[in-house]
Amino acid sequence: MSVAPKFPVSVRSVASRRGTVTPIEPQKKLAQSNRAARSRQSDPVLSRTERRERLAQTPAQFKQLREATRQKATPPARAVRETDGKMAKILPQAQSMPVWLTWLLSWQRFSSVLMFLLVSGTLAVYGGTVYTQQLWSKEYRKLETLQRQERQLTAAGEVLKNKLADQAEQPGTGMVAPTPSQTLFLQPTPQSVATTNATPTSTPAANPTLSPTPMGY
Amino acid sequence: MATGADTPSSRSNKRRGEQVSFLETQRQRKKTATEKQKPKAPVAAQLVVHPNSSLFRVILVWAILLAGGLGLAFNLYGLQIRRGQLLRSQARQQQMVSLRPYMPRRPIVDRGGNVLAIDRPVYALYAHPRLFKKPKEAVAAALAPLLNRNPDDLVRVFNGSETGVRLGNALLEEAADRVANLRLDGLELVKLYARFYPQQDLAADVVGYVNLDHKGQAGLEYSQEKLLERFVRSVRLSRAGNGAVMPDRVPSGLLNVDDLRLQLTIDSRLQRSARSALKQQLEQFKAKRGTVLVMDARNGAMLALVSEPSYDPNQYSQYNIELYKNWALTDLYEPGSTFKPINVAIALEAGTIKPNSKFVDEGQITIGSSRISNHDGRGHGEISITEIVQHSSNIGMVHLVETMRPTVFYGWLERLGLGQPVETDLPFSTPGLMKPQELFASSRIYPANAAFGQGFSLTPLHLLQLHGALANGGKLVSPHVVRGLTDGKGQLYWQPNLPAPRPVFSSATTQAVLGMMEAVVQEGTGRRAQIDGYRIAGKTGTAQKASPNGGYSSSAKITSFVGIVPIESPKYVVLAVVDEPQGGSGSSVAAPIVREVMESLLNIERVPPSEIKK
Repeated sequence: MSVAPKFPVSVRSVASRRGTVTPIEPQKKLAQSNRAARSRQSDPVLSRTERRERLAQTPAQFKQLREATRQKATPPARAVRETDGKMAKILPQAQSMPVWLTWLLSWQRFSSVLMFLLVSGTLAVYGGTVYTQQLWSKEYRKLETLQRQERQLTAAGEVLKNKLADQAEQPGTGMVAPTPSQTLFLQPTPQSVATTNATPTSTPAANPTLSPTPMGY
Repeated sequence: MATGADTPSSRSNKRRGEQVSFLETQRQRKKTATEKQKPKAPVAAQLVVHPNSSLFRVILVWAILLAGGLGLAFNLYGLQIRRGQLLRSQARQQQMVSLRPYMPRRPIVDRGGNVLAIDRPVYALYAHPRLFKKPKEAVAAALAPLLNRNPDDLVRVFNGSETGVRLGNALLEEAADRVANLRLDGLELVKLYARFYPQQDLAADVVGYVNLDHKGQAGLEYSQEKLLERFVRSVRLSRAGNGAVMPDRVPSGLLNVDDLRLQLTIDSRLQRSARSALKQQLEQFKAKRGTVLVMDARNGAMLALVSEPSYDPNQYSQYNIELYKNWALTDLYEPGSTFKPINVAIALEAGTIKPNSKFVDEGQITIGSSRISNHDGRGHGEISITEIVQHSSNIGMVHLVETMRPTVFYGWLERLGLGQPVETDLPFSTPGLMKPQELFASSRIYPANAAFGQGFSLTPLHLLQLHGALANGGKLVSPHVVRGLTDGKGQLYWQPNLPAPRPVFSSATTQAVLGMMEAVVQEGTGRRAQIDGYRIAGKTGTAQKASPNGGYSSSAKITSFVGIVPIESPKYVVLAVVDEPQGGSGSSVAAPIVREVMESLLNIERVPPSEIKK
C-alpha cells in the first residue's frame, strides 16, 4: 500500500482533508479516478453518513469545513471517497511527485533487478568454482594413480628384462649369442626387373651397400 | 485495514506503510469516536510533528537505519583501509602455504629405450609414541609384519623416545599403503624419492649411483646432475579452511609433466655381450680387472663401456669403494704395442717415411744403458712397415721413429692430446703422463721407448680416441655417452654440445695404417680376432706395468687389443684391456674378447660381410 509517508511536504494539504480514505488502487486507476474527480470539481462527493455528520455540526463549523474543502477543491481535485466508514489518507495526485523522486523510484526498481541478477550470478559463479575445484582434485587423483601405474609397470618390465637376460647368459639354458655366421643376408630384388630373383645366398653377397634386415635362425 | 495493489517500488516501504497506515487508521478510529463528542479541531493541528505521531516514528526508524548503515560503513573503512594491510597479511599467512613440489630426477635410458635408472617414490615411516591412541604393544604388533621386524624390537624403540622415531627406512608404495590403511594415530609417512637401477650392475660404470641425499656421486649421475635434476621454484598456494589446497589458484606448469629422459648411446645388448665375454676371460686368466670399450668412430658415440669387476648401484654401500670409479677413464697405463700404429701414422704424416719403406730389425739393440729387444727376442732382418706392425717388432719401431727428430715426435704426441684429459661427458677423466719436452729430447732412450708405447701413460679411453682417429680418416672425435634428452616417443629435444672433430691425420695416412693393421689380424699376432667374412684391422698390446719400486715389474703386465671393423668403411672401434692376467698376452687374452664383442656388434648393427673370402 503506497499511502503514507511519501510526501512529507504535502502533509498539510493532506491533513486538511481530514483523512478520508480511498481504497488502494493501482496508479492507473488512481489517475483515472483523479481525472474523474477532476471533472466533478465543484463539489466533492460525500457519503451519506458524512453528510449527516456535517448537518449535525454547527453551522459555523460546517461553513468553515466547507470553505476549507472548497478552497482545496478548486486546485487539483482529489478523489475523496468513503469506504464503509473508514478514514484514511487522501492520495495526492501523481503530478505532484517531484522529478527527482520519480527518478529515484525508477532507479530503485532497476537496482533491485540488477541486484537480483548479480546475486544469482555470484551464487552461480561460486558454485562453479567449488565444482571446478572438485573436478580438478578428482582428475589430479586420477593422474597420480596413472603415474603410479606407469611407474610400477616400467619398473616391473625392466626387472623382468634384466632377469630374463641374466638367465639367458647362464650356460645351462642352451642359448647362444647370435653371430654373423648364423645370419642370412639377402640381396635386394632389383625393382626394374620383375623376375623371381630373390635367391637367398648364404655366402657373402657382392653387395657392400645396405642390405635388408637379416634373419637369424 | 487498507488493502489493494501497491506499486512495486515501495515494497520495502510497504510494511512500514501498512503499519503506519494501520496505526493511523486505529488512531483515527479512536479519534472519530472521541470527535463525535468534541467539536472538530482544525485537522491541521493534528499531524504536526508530535512525539507519538507516525511520521515521527518513520523518521526515527529511518534515522536508526541510517545510523546503522553509517556505522557499518565506518567499520568497513576501518577494516579495509586502516587495518587492511595487517589483516591481509594475517590472512595470507593463514591461508597461503608455500610448497616446493619435489620432482623426481629424470630417468636414464639406453639407446633402445631400456631404463637404466629411474626414480621411485619411497616413504620413510616415523612414529610419534606420544600421539599413540592405542598401547605401544598393539601398535608394534600391527606394524611388525609390515616392516619385517620383531614386535619387541619395535616396543623397545618406542620406549626410547617420545617423538620422531624412524622405523622403516624406505618403504615402497605398496608397503606404505598398507601402513596407512592401519589408520593408527601417531604414524607419519614422509615421501622421498629413491633411485632404482633395474639393470643392476650392467651399466653401473656409465650411470654411476646416487647417495642418500639423492645426489649423484659417480658416472653420469654425477656429471649430468644439471640435466637430471629438475629444479622447481616453490609455489604459493592458498588453502581452504580444512587445510586442503585450493587447486584453482595453482599456477600453470606446477605439475611439470614433461617426460624427458636422458638417452644414452649405450646399447644394452652389446653391453651384456661385452660383459659376458670379459668375465669369461677374466675368470680363465685370473686377471685383476678388465675393461671393454666400443665406440662409433664417426661421431664418438660409445656403444658399450664395461668394466669388471663392477658393483650394483642399488646397494652401492656394500661394495668396495674402489669400484665406484670407472677405471677406463681414471687409471693410466702404458699402452705398449697398441700405440705402434699411431706412431706409424705420425711418421707417415710427418713425411719421414713412406708406406713401403723398409727398416732393419736386428732383434736387440742397446741404447745407453738400456737394452731393447723384441717381445719374442728374434730379429726379422729387413722388413717393411707392414711387417713391423704385423710382428709387433720393437726394434723396427725404434728405427722408424728415429727418422723423426725428437722434438717433432714430441710435438706430434702433444698434438694428439697426450698429457691432456680426454673431453668426454663422463666425469673424472684423467690426463695422461708424459715426460717434459727437454727431458724427452735430451736422450735417445725416451723416444725409443715411446716408439713401442712405453715411457708414457694414458687412459684406455684416450687410446680408443686415437684409434678412432685412424678409423674415421684422421679426426679426433670426443667419446661421449649422452645422446640427448628425448621424450617418451623418442623425439630428441636437446643434444649436448660436443667439441668439433679435430683433424690430425690425412685420410691417405689412415688408409695405409689400416691396411697394415689388417695384416696383423690376418697373419700377425691378432689372428684370434678374425671373423669369417669381415675385414678387421687390429693390434695387440702387451705392456709391462710399472713397478712401485721403480722400473718395470717383471711379471705384471697389462694386455690389450684394439680392433676396427669393417675396413672398407670403418665404423666401429673396439678396445679390450685386461689388467694382470696370469700367463697370457694380448693376443690370447684380449683378442678373443674383441672377437666376441665384434660378432655381437656386427649382428646388432646389421653390418653385411665384405667380399673377401677366407
